[in-house]
Amino acid sequence: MNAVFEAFKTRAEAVSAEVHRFKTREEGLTFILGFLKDAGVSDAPECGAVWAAGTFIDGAAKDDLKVKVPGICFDITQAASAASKVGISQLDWAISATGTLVQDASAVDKRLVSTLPPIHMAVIGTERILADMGSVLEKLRPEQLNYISFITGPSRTADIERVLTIGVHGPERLIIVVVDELQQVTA
Amino acid sequence: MHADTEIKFRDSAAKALLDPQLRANFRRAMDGLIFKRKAQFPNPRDLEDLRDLSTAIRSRSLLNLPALLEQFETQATKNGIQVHWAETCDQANELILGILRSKGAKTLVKGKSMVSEEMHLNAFLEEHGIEALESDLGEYIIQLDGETPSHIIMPAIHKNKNQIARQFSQKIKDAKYTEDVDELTAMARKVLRQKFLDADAGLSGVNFAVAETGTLCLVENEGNGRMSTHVPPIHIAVMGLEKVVATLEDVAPLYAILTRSATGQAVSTYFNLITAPRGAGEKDGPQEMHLVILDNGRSRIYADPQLQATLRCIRCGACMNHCPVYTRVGGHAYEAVYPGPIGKILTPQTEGVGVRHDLIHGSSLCGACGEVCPVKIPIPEILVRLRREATHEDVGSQVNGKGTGRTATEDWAWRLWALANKRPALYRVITWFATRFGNALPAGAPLIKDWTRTRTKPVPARRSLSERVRAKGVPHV
Repeated sequence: MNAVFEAFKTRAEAVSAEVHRFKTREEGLTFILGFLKDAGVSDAPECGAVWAAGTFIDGAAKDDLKVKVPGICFDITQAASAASKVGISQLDWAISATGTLVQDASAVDKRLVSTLPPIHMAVIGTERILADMGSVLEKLRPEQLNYISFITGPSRTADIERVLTIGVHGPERLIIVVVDELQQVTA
Repeated sequence: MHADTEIKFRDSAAKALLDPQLRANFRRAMDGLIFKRKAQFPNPRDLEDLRDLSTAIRSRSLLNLPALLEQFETQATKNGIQVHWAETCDQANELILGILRSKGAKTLVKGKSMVSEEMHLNAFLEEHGIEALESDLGEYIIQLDGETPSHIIMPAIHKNKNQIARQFSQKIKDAKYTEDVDELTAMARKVLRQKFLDADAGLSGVNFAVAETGTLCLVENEGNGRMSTHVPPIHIAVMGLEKVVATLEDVAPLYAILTRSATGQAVSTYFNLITAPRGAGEKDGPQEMHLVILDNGRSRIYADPQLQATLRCIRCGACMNHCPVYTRVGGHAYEAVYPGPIGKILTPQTEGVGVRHDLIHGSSLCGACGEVCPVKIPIPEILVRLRREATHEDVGSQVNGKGTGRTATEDWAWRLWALANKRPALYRVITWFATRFGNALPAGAPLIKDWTRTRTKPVPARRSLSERVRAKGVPHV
């Protein structure tokens, strides 16, 4: 698993994503909360964080989290996402060959939090990292999923003189939080 | 004759060649793209294997196209996508206008779509009071100046950052002048973000449509494709009818070769598989999803076994990046929606081989396009075929405008040629004059100047072969 993770990390960082790995869910959660505080997330306007549902967060005491970092919002709307600094969502698969994250984004809130805020934090279990795109496609049933997103690094363009620019319409930072002890259900 | 109405690629290309800035912009960009693509394929064997596989998938998809389209429509409809068919661009435009009007939509925000360029959708909607705004950074830049894309992947590549800096400072409200690319991008982001949130409808293109699952696949880097497909309350997708493949398994190799051939990326930042509109109980996301499938001459191309290969195209732009003609004259000189080698075979087939005779001949037939094409479209062979189609009315040919590229001058030249070659006496008279006075003819003389303007004038021999043979006393001549 370590080799697969390392390959994933190398490829993801090559396309400007930031990758952090934690053993337990608690460690992952502590990192995220610390990051949100450092990023200046608060209940002031345009400073919030939107957190989409997923097994990582569903069992947590959400009210406590809101006390620890005011500005976290679990009730996601387009307007709330557009006005937030950070969006957090759980991803379903990852591809080590390309540093790609894959998400069953049938729930619109998952798309909104990974598209509209300038920072996207993506949580994923270590065991969900697979070798290549073919391995992921085998597991996906698009006829049952309204929308599947493959995400490789932050939003980018090279439309002006082929100069690479990060953060056009989507997030300018993609922070991937890989957690070893995270139970995930198959998308 | 039609020659008066012909669009003169030669003239627009000559004009483009006089613009050193334009040539520098293209040369630099195309060199970069060639280099990045090459870096993606360190092993030529892997590249050839992937090209073979991709070609096989696209050929097989076309072979079963009618059945796959039916299967796709059934499945997509079951998923909740409303599928519409348009034979012409006019019909497609009317369909989209109808959808927007039925919802009272006044603004449409667009992700990148070459089919919508083919339809001239923006101009059509503006005429009918609907604002259509491009959100892809390159498309946004050219829309500000009322231009068309000069490259199918990098629409604004003909401009450099100084030109864009000037343009933004003049056309975007409260914008300051800056040549910093990050700052220019941030300006566009700010304007477009608000437009996304306010838009009544979003439009996107389609890279692949999967028949088995009724899924639309969308490849992009900026995130505007994602936003166009799930931020506004209505999502309209447009695609050419050739885009369908059988299964999701077919998509993986095509996607792998598309991004590598186009921008030299192993994968794009975003790859979206869109199967249905907003689900039950969702607060956001498109309430309605429409797909407009455009023919616009594709069925006619499909009917010809050789020309059908044109429809394998996955719109990567590699043929442009590697074309010695495109790199020097840029995309606008073609005066066509699809420039470069693929445009040279596609445009004459949709608009007519007679009226776009200029494009068919605007090639040195060097073969680079065919060598890099990820789905092995034999572009040079098709160009040669279309050259014949333009001047002949072959039995069974369904080529649009076949034979209409013939000119009276050319016909007369061949008639005289035949006449001279059938009468030895006349032939001798002509060669006698040509050998004695041919060299006196100035290079700029009418009839020969089109040839001599880029070539050295041929110098005739001082005596014709038959004269020399006779002088030597060879019997029986």
